[in-house]
Amino acid sequence: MMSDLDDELMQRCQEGDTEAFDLIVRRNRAPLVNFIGRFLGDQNSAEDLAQETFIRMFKAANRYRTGTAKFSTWMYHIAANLCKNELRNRGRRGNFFIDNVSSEEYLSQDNSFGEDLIATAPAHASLQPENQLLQKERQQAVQNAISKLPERYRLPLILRDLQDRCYEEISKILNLPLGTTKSRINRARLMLRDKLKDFVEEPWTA
Amino acid sequence: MDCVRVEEQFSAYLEDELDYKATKAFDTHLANCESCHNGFLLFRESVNLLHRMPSIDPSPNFDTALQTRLANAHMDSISWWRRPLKAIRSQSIWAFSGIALGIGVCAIAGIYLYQNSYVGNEDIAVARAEDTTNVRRYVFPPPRIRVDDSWQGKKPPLVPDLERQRLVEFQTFEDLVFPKEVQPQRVERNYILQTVTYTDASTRGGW
Repeated sequence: MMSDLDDELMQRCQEGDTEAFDLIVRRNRAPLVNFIGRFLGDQNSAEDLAQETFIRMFKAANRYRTGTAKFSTWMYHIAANLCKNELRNRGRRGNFFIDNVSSEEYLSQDNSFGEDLIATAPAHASLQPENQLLQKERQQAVQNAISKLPERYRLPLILRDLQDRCYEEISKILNLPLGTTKSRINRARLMLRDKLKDFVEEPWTA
Repeated sequence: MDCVRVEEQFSAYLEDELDYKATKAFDTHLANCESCHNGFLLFRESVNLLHRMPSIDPSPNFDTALQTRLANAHMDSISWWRRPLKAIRSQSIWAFSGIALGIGVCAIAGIYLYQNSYVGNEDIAVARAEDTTNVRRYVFPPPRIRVDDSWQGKKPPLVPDLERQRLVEFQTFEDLVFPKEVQPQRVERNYILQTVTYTDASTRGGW
């Protein structure tokens, strides 16, 4: 998806070509909204922060140096910082999402957290209605489990398993040593496994 | 290899990053430890669940909202004194041309008015008071002022109604007396407000 073309487009943007930046937006808006949306579990905030990311990129376009880092690394680095800030602000405002609520409690309470994200997910046409419901329930549980991970585990997990970034790039995005990045991702997956026990079909019984 | 060490290698094993020796040790442990075996299968399934999560697409009005915010951010980024210029540039060429034309017309009108108000004869100027009851005519040939003799030996003439007079340049104030409330200020070149008429006094000499 993101390649050297983004570097070239940034160069054109630095030369005053505004259409080049439009193209950067069109190429990167979907992965960016997905990344932030999965991190925050809220589409409106995700779009707001994705737009803020693009604005910061636009303002800092002249400081962007091709060759020093990948474009996507730069973009995710900005977005990750905005996500961390947003999480801190929510903590201060006291509307931090469903921490300390188990997935069972969450579902039984008909909590709407993440529902907007799940509702937009296309259900496979071949699935029976009950299976569609089960699929949505699982997706909701996964989103819930992601949102309950501590920030330092959540970011690398999303970058790895939902954004398909390589370990080296994730370590650059998060300014972490490679070993720390790998161990955090493994730890995040283990935590996720524990949270999703009830929603994963027991593979050994299949 | 103990269970903790095996758990630490779940991701590396899943992503085929272990070398042969480590893979062999991992497999051996899983074959002999049901807990780790089941734990790894759950681990793999939950990662698969993650990979199957649908992507979140931006809403249709994402681009419009972004363009608006970008435009605002761009305006914020430029200095306040450059914003009007920027705004003008962003308008049509006709608006810009209209403003340029207006400035040109104002400039031409200004030059015309300035030329008409200019007291042209710098060598000799004749000043005359508007109040005909106290008409005093003065001829100011440089370098010093000569005033007509009609008031010689009497009180020097007042320069009446200065506020309605026009500007004329002359060399000195020494021979004139002004009302207190209209004392002119001395400047580098001395000026006095008076009504001016043009005359060929240079050929006629002074009165």
